[in-house]
Amino acid sequence: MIRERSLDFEMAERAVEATLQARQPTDPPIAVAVVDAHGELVLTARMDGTSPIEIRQAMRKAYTSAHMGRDTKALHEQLLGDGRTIGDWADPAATTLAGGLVARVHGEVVGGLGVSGSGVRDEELARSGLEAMESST
Amino acid sequence: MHNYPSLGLSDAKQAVSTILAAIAAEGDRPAAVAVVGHDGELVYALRQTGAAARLIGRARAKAYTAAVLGLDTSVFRSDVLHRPGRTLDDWGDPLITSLPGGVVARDEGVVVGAIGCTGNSIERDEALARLGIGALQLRSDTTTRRMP
Repeated sequence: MIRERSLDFEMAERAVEATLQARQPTDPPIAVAVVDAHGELVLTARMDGTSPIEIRQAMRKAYTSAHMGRDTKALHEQLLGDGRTIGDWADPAATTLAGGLVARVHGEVVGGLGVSGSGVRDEELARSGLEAMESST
Repeated sequence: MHNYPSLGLSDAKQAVSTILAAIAAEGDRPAAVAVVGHDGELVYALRQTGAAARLIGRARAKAYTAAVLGLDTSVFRSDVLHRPGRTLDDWGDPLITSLPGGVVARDEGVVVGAIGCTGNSIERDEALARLGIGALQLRSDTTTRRMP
C-alpha cells in the first residue's frame, strides 16, 4: 500500500483567504484556485468585478503547477530554454502564464495554487496564500 | 445600457457557509458546492475533504444549468427534458445537466445566479442548495409577469 499526500479543504480555504487578503486596493480584482496533488479542483473564488476568464486561468495555473510539479513562471522559463512551447504537452488545461505555484509539504507535491487578474502581481499574491497555508500546516 | 444584477463573492460565501453548517449538523457525506452568477460563470466552488474530484464539476454543471436556463435542474428534468423525444443533446451544451441539485437564485423574479450541490442523494443535494439560496435574503417577485 502506498500513501499519497494531498492538501485538504481546510488548507485550501486558508490559502484562498490569505491570497485575497494579500491583495492591495491598487490591485485589480483577482480570482484564486487551489487544486489537490492530482491537479483536481478543491476550491476557487472570484472577487466581484473579476472577469470569468480569470477564474479559468487561475484554475489552469493551479492545475499546471500541481500536475507538472513546477511553478508556471519557472515552467515558462524552462520551456523557453528548451526551445519548446506548452503546446508540446497537448494538454489544453496547461498554461505557462505566471501565477501558478506548487504546494509542497516536506518536498512532496500536495497541490497547486493559481491567481489571475492582478496583472503583474499574480505570482506574488499566490506566494502569500501558499505561505499562509504552509505556515499553518 | 442594461445592468444585470448578479451574486457576488460575499453572497456566495454566505450561502456556502450555511450549506456547510447544515452538512456538519446533519452528518451528510462530504459534498461539493458551486455558486455561479447570473451568466452561469463560477463565483465560488469547493469540494470538501473526502468528496471525489468529479463532484466539483458536477456541482458546477448543476449551478450553470439552473442559472442559464432559469430553472431548478429538477424542474428542467421533470417538466422539460421528459417531454417525448427530448434529450440533453437538444441543448447542444456540454455543461447542461438534468441532475437535480441545481437551484436558481432570483431577486424580484430576475435570475441573479444559482447554486449546485453534489455528494449526497439528489433530494438532499437539492435541499442543501435551497438552504443556500434561503440564506441570501432575495426578494420575491411582487409583480405579475406573463411567462415567456
